[in-house]
Amino acid sequence: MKKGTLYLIAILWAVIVILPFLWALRISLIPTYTTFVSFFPKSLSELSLVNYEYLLFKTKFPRWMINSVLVSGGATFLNVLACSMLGYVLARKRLPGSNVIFTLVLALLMVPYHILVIALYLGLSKVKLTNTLFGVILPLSANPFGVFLMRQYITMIPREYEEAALVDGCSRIGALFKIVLPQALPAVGILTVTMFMETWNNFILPLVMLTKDSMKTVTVGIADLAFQTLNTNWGVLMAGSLLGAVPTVLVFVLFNRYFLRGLTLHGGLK
Amino acid sequence: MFTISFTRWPIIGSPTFVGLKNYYRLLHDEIFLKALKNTLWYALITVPSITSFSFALALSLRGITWGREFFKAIYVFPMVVTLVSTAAIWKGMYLPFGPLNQLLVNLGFSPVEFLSVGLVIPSLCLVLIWRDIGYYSLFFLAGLEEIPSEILEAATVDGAGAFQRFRYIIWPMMKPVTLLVCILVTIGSFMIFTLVYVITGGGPAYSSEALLNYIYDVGWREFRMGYAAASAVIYFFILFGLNMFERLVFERG
Repeated sequence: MKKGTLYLIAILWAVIVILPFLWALRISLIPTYTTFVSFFPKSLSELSLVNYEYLLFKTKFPRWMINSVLVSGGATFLNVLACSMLGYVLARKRLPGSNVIFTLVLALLMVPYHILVIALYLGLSKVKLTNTLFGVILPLSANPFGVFLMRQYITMIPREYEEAALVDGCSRIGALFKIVLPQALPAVGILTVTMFMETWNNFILPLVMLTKDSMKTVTVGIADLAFQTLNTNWGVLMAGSLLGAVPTVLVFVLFNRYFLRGLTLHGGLK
Repeated sequence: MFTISFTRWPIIGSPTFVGLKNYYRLLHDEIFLKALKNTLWYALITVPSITSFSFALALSLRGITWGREFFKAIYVFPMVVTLVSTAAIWKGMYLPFGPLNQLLVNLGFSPVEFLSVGLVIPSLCLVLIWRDIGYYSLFFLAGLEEIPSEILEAATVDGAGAFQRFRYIIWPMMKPVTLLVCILVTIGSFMIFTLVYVITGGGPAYSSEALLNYIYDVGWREFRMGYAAASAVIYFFILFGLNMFERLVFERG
C-alpha cells in the first residue's frame, strides 16, 4: 500500500481514539449540560470551571483521590518490596520447595484475580479489614507477575557481586537492597509503573471492600457519580472522569518507556 | 473458594453445607444463564474484531517510520485512562441526544437507541473494541518487527504479491502472537464488569448482564456468598476451557 494511505489510517484511528476524551473535556467546561453543544467553543468566556469547583468542594472527590493515592502508593511500594524479595529467593536459593512455589506463581498468573474476590472478601472481613484502605492494599501487594518479573531479571544478574559482599560481611537483606536491586533497576521500574497503573485502575476490589463514602477510591467514586439518581450531572461526571485519570496519564507520560515495555511483557507472560 | 461453593452462606452467621444444590439451582437460574449467554456474546464479538483490526492497524503502522512512536503513545492512551472514566465518558457518548447520535443525524441517518435491549451488547463491545485495538496492535507490531525484512524482500523479488507475502510469510510467523492476543482478549471479555456496571448496570432487563456482574449482584446485593462462589467456579472453568480450545485451534490450523 502507499505510504499516504497508511498514514491516513494511522491518523484516522488516532483521531477516533482521542475524540471521546476531547468531548468529555468540552462537556466538563460548560456550566450546565445541554444536548446541543457545539464541539468547538465560540469564545473563551463560554467556558467555566463551575463543574470542577463543585467536584472539589461539594463532593468527596478530593478524599477519594487521596485514598486512591494511598492505596496505589502503598500497594506499589509493598509490591516492589515483596516481589523483589520473593523473586530474589526464587532466583538464587535452592530452598526445598522453591520450584513448587514458582509453579504456583505461574499458575496464579493464569487466574484472573476477579474470581478470587469472593474468597478475599470473606477472608478479609473475618479479620475486620472491610472499609479500611489496608484491606484493599493487602490483597494487591504481591502480584504474581511482579514475582515472575523480578525472578527472571535477577537470574540474569551475575551472583559474584553479592557473594563478594557476603564474604565481606554484608547480610543477605543488605546484599539484596544494596547490590542486587540497583542492578535490577529496569525491572524495578517496569514493576513500579505497571503496579501503580493496575492498582489505580482497580475497581471490583475497592467496590466490594469499601462501602463507606469517605473510604472510597476514586474509581468507585466516579462510578457513584455516574449513578446519581434521576439527573446525572454530566459536567461534574466528565470533570471527575478526567481528573481521576490524571495520575495514571502523568505516570504514563513520565515513564512511557517502562510502561510500554511492561505492557508487552505483562501480556507476553499471561 | 470451592468449599464455599458447596455451602449456603448469607454472610452473617456461618455456612451450612448443602452439597451440589447451588450448582443444580444455577443451571435452572434464568438470570445466570442469561449472563452466561451475554458473556459468551461479548467474547464472540470482541475476540475476532479486536484481533483482526489490531492486526490490520499494526500492518499499516509497520509501513510508517516517521512518527511511529507518537502513534504508539496515542494508541495505548485509552488503556492508560482508568476504565471507570472511559465507561463514564462512553455513557455520555451513548446518550439519546449524545454526540454519537448527533453525528448520525448530521450524516443523515436516524438516531439510534444504543442502550436498548437489542443493541446494548454490540454497543458495549464497541467501547471495548475502541479501547483495545490500539493496545493489541502494539503486540502485533512487536511481532512484525521481528520478521526479518530480507525474507520479505526475497519473496518480492521472487514475484510474491502482497497477499502471498501475507499468507505464506507473515501469517505463519505471527501465529503465536495472534494466539496470545486471542487468549488475552477472551480473558478480557470475560472480565467485562466495570463497563457494564457503569454504563448499564446490567440492564435493560438483564440484557447486558455479564457473569462477573451476576456474581457481584448475588454476592454483594443479595449476600448469598455460597451461590456466588458456585457461579464463580463455573465461570472459571468456562474461561479455562475456552483458552484450551483456542490453543488447540491454533496448534491444528
